[in-house]
Amino acid sequence: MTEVIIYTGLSFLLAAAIAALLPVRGNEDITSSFSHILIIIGCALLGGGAFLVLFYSPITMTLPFNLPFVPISLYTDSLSAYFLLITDVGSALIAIYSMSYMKNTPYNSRYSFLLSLLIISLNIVFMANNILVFIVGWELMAFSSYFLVIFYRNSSSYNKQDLLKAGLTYIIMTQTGAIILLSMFYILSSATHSISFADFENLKLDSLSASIVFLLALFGFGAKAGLFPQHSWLPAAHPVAPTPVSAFMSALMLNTAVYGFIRVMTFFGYIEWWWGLPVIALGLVTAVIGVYGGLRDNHLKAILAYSSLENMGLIFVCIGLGLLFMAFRLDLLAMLPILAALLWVLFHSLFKSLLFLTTANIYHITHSYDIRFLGGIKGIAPLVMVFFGIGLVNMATLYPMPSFISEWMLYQSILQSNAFPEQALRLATPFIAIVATLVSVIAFAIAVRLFISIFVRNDKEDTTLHYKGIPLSQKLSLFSIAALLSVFGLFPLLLIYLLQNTMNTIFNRSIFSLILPQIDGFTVLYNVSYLTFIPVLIFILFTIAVLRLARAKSRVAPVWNCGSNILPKESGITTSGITSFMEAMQPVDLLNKQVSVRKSSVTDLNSRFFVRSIDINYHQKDAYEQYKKLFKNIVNIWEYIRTNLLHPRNTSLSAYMGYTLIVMIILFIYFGIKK
Amino acid sequence: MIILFALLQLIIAIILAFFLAGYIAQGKARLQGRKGQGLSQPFANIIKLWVKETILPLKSGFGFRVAPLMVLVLSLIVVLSLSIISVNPPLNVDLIWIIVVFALIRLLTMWGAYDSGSPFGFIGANRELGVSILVEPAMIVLVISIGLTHGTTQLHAIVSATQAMQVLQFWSPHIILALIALSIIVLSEMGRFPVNNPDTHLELGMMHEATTLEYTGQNLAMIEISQALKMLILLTLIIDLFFPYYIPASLSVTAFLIGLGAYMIKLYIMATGLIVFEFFLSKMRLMQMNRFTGIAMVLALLSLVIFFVQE
Repeated sequence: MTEVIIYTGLSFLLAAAIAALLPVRGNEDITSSFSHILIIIGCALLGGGAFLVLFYSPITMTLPFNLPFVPISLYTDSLSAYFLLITDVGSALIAIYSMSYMKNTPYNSRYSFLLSLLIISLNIVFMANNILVFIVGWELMAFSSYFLVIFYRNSSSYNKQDLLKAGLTYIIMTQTGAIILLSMFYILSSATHSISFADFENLKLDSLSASIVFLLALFGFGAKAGLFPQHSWLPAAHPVAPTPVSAFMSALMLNTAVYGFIRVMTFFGYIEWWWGLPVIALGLVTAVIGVYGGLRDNHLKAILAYSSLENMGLIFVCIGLGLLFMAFRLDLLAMLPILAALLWVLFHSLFKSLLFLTTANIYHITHSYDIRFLGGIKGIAPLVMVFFGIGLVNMATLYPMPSFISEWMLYQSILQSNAFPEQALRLATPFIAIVATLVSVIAFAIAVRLFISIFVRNDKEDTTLHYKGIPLSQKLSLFSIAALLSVFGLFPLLLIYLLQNTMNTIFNRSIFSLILPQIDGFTVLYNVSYLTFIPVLIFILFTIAVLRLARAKSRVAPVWNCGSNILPKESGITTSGITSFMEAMQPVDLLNKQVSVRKSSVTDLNSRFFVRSIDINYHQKDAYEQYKKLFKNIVNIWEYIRTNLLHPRNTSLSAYMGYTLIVMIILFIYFGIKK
Repeated sequence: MIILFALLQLIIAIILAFFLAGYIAQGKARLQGRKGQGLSQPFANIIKLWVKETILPLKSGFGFRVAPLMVLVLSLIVVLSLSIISVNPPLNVDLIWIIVVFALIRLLTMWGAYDSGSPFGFIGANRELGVSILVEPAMIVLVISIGLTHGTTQLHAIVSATQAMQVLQFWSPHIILALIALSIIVLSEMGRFPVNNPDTHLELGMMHEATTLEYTGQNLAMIEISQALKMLILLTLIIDLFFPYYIPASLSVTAFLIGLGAYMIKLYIMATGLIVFEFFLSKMRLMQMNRFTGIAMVLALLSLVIFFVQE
């Protein structure tokens, strides 16, 4: 039954890819819409299948056609089913949105082809049962998303050079990660003489190779998740990609890294004590880079990309804490951070797709992504404000929204650090909380900044703008995401039921053993949400507020402006509360800023006191630019190989045969030594 | 039963909050050689504001209109989750939740301020944001330090654990440091000296006043109630975390009366301390805020480290 549903879903996606290629002369909208509808049906079916797997039993599906030596089969257990559920529900919602978004865009059937390939590849990655299938899915994902990132390369509103550079950054980063992953899989398969994930489960590796596998997994999957030092592709690629693709990549594609990392960690029977530390360190550095970048950047989509970095960083901090607990055999305590990480993935997917999709509506109104020049659209697009606001409250991890739950679980697991047998670890763990709080507070500031500069600022208001309202299908998609977020935020208990089998798969222990007196606080959230006292109160509050608004008797008058008649246009931004904070943080600032000021004075007076104009050149240097040297070296190596070794001008058939010979000699020597 | 209990707690808290605000204003005036306005002035203010006409600024939007009510209800929810007349409050929540609801209240206040369209609203909200960035990490560190001491972050559990401990055993150095840090945080959260001058309408010193400058009538009344409640909430947090003595664990009339009396005496002592402390200080420049809140951060960290060293 479940198999049939999943097969049907996959074939719908394949049909969508094929339908997008059908030649319809003149109007590509028809093929594109048709293909989108197929994608939505396929995703809905796959989501249903994943839901069934999540609540019933894992399934193995053998394809009807098979390669002779490599059994290709797809496998879904409750861990991958959880990620599949997020992916398919998310892709269905994004596809509903992008159907009307991509209308009247040139080459939109090509877009739907690539989108369906990307969704298929994500499904393959989550369902892969052996290395071969995994790598095929991974590469398909990398290349289809690469072509989607550079989709607007012929559009006049983008700078082609910048766009191709961003795409190149992305593909090089992700392929470097893929090479690291391949070498990891090589070690795994040579240790077990198998390529099947099932055989890796009872893995017996010596300490050194296990640690190497762990590090390779961290950096390999880290490239996809945007962990430091491989984070620079996110803020580069997201601003240039079509908005639904940004939403897809940021909200759903990054999850593959989290899934892959957790999956590889389940292969190990034991965890070395220090493995949690680099994960936590990289996660924290990534999160800090994310919030600093977001505070300083002015491109709306780049800020959202930085926010993804922040969230991915904190998710990996949770996983690292879980590893640390597991290393000391504190499995019960390890469940809490891992649960936080899994929930965080879900919440991040939902709210980031909401934010990115609403960005497209904002762009439709303002035709700009630069938040310095936006402002005052609260009057013409109130619904956009509501949707974006819900996303932003999530970004700020505040209470009625679900992100708070995962953040809270992170703090609670840090509070359990008393259980560590090592004094140094006990002392160091609370410092994670400090950085995490700092990160979430700055995320709060970023959310406020975004909301104010886009919707509220009256002084930037452009009265010539007008907006017809969000199209119906887009409204449907946005509303579904916002409704899911609100339900999860008010009734977090639902999620515990959703995740019970997944946690069983990872820990062989029921999630309900967490709700014990020794972990206080967990019971609290349980009670509060179960009583539904506060949710009901908040609901009543909203109702009263709306009613009050409807029948409020009031007079409208201009604001107090100190007796002057003219309100200066820039009067609102004379001071900024951030300055004080920035001064405090100067010593640990990761981003360099270079400000050069050139004054041009009135020539005949020739005095520096009579300045006619000042040019302020503000250049923000990102942290990754310091790292760029290393990145450049990687590019240079590729460039050298391409021009000097593989280019047809420099090579001939004999050269290629020579390379083959060299490889064979190396292999002979290797196997000779091994025997 | 629980609803009656919650209502009782709300009524007591609102009345005490007004008297607290009146007492602080009165005491300050006396120290400055003025006659003062009298203890019951806040009640009169609220009644007067409630019957007055509501005026909305020209460019204000949805946020400006709904923010006061939402802030008020959220403050009342926080009041319900504190141990005031009983160790077990009507809502059992934990400290991290309370901090996050404070952040939510701040967000709504800021939304109302930005939405009023007044440049003063911008100044106030921006300053509020800057202060919150500096204060909140210190608050979380403090909660972790206290939470590690008692093994929980639930407020009622902390209260009963502290009551069960011997006084000298409880007052170890790290608790004293935590108390000082919390006092600094409370001062900056309440917007008192040296962070903010609560009595002025001068652009240089305004912070909280600037965010609520455009409110009139019932909206302003709700803002005033929630500001009075916020002061009470913050002082009650200090009482619950550090001086929870005589808060009754059982429901009997004598225990209730003793508990209420003790609570009022504690509030009285702290308010007097606040008045005297404020009298000897002048307002700090806004740009030097980070040094003041930095003290709180360092003390909270020290408290954490000392806690681990003690073990």
